[in-house]
This record gives sequence, C-alpha cells and structure tokens, in this order.
Amino acid sequence: MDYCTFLQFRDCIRNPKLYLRTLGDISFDDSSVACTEHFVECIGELYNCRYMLYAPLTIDAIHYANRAAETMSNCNGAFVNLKVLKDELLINNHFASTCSIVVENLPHGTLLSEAMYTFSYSHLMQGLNNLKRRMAKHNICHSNLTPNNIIVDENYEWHPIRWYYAVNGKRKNYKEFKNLAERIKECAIPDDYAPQLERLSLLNSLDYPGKRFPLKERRRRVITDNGTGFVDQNNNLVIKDIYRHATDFTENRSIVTTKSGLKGIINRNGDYIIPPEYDDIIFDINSGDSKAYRNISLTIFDYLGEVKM
Amino acid sequence: MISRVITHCNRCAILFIVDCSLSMKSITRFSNTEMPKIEATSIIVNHIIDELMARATRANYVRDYYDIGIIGYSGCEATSLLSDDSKIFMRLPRLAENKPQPKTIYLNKSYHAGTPAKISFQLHPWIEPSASGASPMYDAMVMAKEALRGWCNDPGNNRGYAPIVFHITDGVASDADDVEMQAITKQIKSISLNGDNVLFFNIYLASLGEGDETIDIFPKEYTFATRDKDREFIYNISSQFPREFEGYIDQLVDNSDSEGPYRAVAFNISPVPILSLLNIGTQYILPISNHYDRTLEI
Repeated sequence: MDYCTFLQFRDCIRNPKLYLRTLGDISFDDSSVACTEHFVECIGELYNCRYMLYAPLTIDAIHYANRAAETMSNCNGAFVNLKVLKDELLINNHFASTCSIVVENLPHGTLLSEAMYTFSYSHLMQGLNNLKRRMAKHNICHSNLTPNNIIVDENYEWHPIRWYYAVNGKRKNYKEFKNLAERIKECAIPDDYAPQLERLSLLNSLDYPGKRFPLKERRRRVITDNGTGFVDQNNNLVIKDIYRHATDFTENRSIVTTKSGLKGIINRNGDYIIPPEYDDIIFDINSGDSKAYRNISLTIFDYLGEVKM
Repeated sequence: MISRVITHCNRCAILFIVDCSLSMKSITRFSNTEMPKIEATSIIVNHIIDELMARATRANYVRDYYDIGIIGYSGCEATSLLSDDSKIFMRLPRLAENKPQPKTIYLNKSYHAGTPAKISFQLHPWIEPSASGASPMYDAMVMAKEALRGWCNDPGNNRGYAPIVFHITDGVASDADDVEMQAITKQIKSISLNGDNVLFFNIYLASLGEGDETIDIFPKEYTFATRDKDREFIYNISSQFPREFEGYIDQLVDNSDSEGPYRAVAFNISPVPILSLLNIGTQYILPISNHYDRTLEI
C-alpha cells in the first residue's frame, strides 16, 4: 500500500536523514507543511535548489502522480519537473515499510493568489495567455489550476505547480482559465494606476482606494476615499472606514492606525481592546501580549487588553 | 426502543479536537461563570473523560470499553495531548493508570428564585488550559480523519460503533477558509463503521460581549444572527443526528415545533446533556451483580 500518514510525514520532515532513502540531505521549511485531499506537502531545499515534496495520504494518490509523471514526460521540460521516487520514504506499519514520494522543483516567484492583487492587469493576462498556449501546444491539462497553484516569476511568466492530477488533453483548461481571467479582472491593478511599481515588496507597502485584500477570519480590509475599514464575506461594511491603516485580523486582533497617527488594537466587531493612544504597537501571536510605545514609555497589555506592566 | 451496548467486543472511540489558539483566552460565560474559553474547554473535556471513566469502572477495575484521543491545535501544528508519541488513541485502562490528581472547580449556579450559589466539584485535569498562537484547524481535522480511519479499519474494532468526535472551538481557522473546512469535515463525517457514521459534535464558545451568547443545544433549525458567522460555520459543519436518536432527544430539549433532524452542536453550554446522550449506548452503573455486560433497553 503506497501511502503514509500525516504524522509519518511530519516525523520525516523533522528527521529527513532517518526517513528518506536518497534525499536525506534535504532541509525542510516545516512552516510550509500543508494538506490537500490526497497529499501532504512541504517545501525543502537541497543543494541550493527548492523543491516541493508530496507524500501520498490515500491509496489513489500515487496512481494519480504516476499518471501525471507519464503525461509530463512528453513535455520536454516546458513545465516544472515532476518525479515519483519509489520507496523513498521509510515508514513502519503493518502493511508496508516504504512508500513513494512525489518531487517537483519549485520555481522562484510569487504565488498568483498574491500577485493578482499587486501586478497590473495586462501583465497578468500576458502570463495567462502564454500559459494557455504552452499547455495547448503540449496537449496537457493540469486539472487543478487555481491561484494557489501558480507561481508568477519576475518576467510575468506563469509556472503551475502541484501537477499530480495532470492528464493528457485540454478538457478542463478552458473553464479554469476563464475563472482565472475573471479573478484577475476583479483583483488586478488597473493598467493606468501604477504600471511602473509592480515590485511586490514595494506595492505591499502602498495602500490605495480600491486595493483588494484577501479574506482573513471572515473580515476583508477595504480602502475607500474615507479611509480603511473591514467588510464581511458578504461585503457588508462591519467596521467603518475611519482608519488610516489596519492590519489583517490574526486571532481576532487587528492593529489600527487612526487618522491622527495613533495606534490601537480592535477585535472583529470593531471594539477597541487597546485604545488608540500609542505611537507603535507590537502584537505577539504566541503569548497574545502587546507592547505599546508612547514617547519613551512602554506598556505591556495581555490578550484581553489588561495592563501587565 | 433504542438498544446499544458498549462492551469489550463492541467498543467505541471518543476523540476530542480542542482549539488551543490564542483567541481561546477570551472570556466566555460558561455555566453562569465568566472564565477564559480555554478553561471552559478543559472543564468540558475533563468532565466527559471522568464521566466515561466512571461509567466503565466496575469494582475499581476500569473496563476496556473506549479508546480516548485528544488532539489540540495551536501555532502551526496539531498534536496529541494525551501522549508524546504519534498515537492519537489511548485505551481507557491505560489512561486510568496515569490518572492525575483531581482539582477542585468552582462554578456559579442559580437556585430557586434566582438565589446565587457557588458549587464546587472535583475533576481530573486530563488537559490543562493553555492557549497561544494561530488556529491550524484544518491540520487538526486531517490528523483526526487519519486517526478515525485507522481506528475504524483496525480489525480489533470491527464489531464496534462509529466514533464520536467532540470539537470545541470559537469558530475561526487560520489555515483554511470555510469551503475547505466544510470539505474536510464532510470527509470525517463520511467515515463509517458497521453502518453508522462518525458523529461530529461541535461545541461553540462565544466571547463575552462579542459573539452570540445564546445557549442552545441540539437545534433542529438555526436562525443565523447576522453578526455571528462563526456560529453559523459551526452549525454547518456539525453532524445531523441519526433518526433513532430523535425520540430520546425530544425528551431532553423542547424543540417539537421545529422540522428536520437534530444537529450535533451545542452553543455556550455545559456538557451535561451530551453525557445523557452517551447514556443511551453505555450500560448504567448497576448495583453489584453476577451478570456483566447486560443489555439495557431504553
């Protein structure tokens, strides 16, 4: 039975030398562990190259991966390199002592789910159309093209990842590309807005009316001509747009900056946990404590907004 | 008539999935007492485990009726809170061997005509209240799904009952959106054993002054307050009770005006009604008798 459990793969991430037959020298980024329906995955670095490793969680997983590897073997390197390493992972259970691992090389770039908010419409559509042509040329269907499965490089080229469901033919391509085009139209920066400023790190520090943010803890930041506020999943304005700036919600806390430049912390109802009286606030997600600075004095609050010292 | 017996041969598993994220430090009103949500969570879990252990004890000997598992999630991972190794489930006799010293819990109660009182009772602290970091709820559900499948596929449990899962949370995941969470919980609810599906029971705790603090249990239909989407999410991922439980639940809650099946969800309420439900399947603690493992028909 060619599959493992989430816990077995997690043990492997902590001790690759012990559990991997040929990839023992890999070093994993364990904050990148994620699960999908059939696989658990993690990003690793080996000899200065980045890879995504997928461990099969279900009986069907490796069957899909083998089919995808065979499909992509005819693409002559046009897409990321997907390989199935048989018996790579050492496991011990009643049924088997090894299982296969799927490896993909990981291109450098930005996930489309982030890029679609910070790249211009025309550059994103250029990347989409180029990918469409490449896939049509090789007669291949990814079967799972979503913004989280595409990396956009610095030349605006799109590189899909998670190819393990790939098949021959163009069956689903049309619908998936149509959905992506609609999302881009909704989220991308209009071409006449900031065409010269498409470097992600720069744009992330700029807020402008109409900039679109992802939904976090059922709240999405909105920037209007009045200021920054939050809407819910149904786009109802639940926290008024009265702030100069706000962070996304983390564990029901957002650091807000008022129009006068002072900072406080609010919850998802918009109620202040820490009043907006401070020059700077640093929130620690592990302890829940906030360090609030005003001039040279420091106040430490606990998660509930009570003063600790 | 409902007749179910949990015995050495017809075993059951109870799995707790506990939100230990930072937001569980918020205050809730639980059993008329204001306390951090994580403290209410530990009271719920510890109370249920103590109750299960008591019901499986005969003449100071704990029978091997259940496997218990506790998965806690916080920060960037989900972990087993009962053991240091990778196993999730622990057999009840083994759990009893490592029973911690009991602690005294104090809760407020209102007696006749609203007379306030403070009651104390003892619970064994199988888990201690501790909350920090983000909420990797999806990771916890994946871990739970694997553990439950493994338990159901174990030949030693092939005459048992489908496990019961208690998920205690304030409703927000940091590693997945609502669509992904509904998909993974659907997979959990589809795991079955001997014709019964896993019962996915959610216990939601609202923050004082922030969420919907209305107390409700086993609702048949739910009218969603526009502000509390967390409560709506919890309702949607909970199991519907099988038809055979309806007659018994009708006696517990007054819901005769509503249509549809009961939902396995409790909002801001103590676990006592849940234990009454488990009572259907377990044997009552009988007086000293020569007959063990007797079926009790309700």
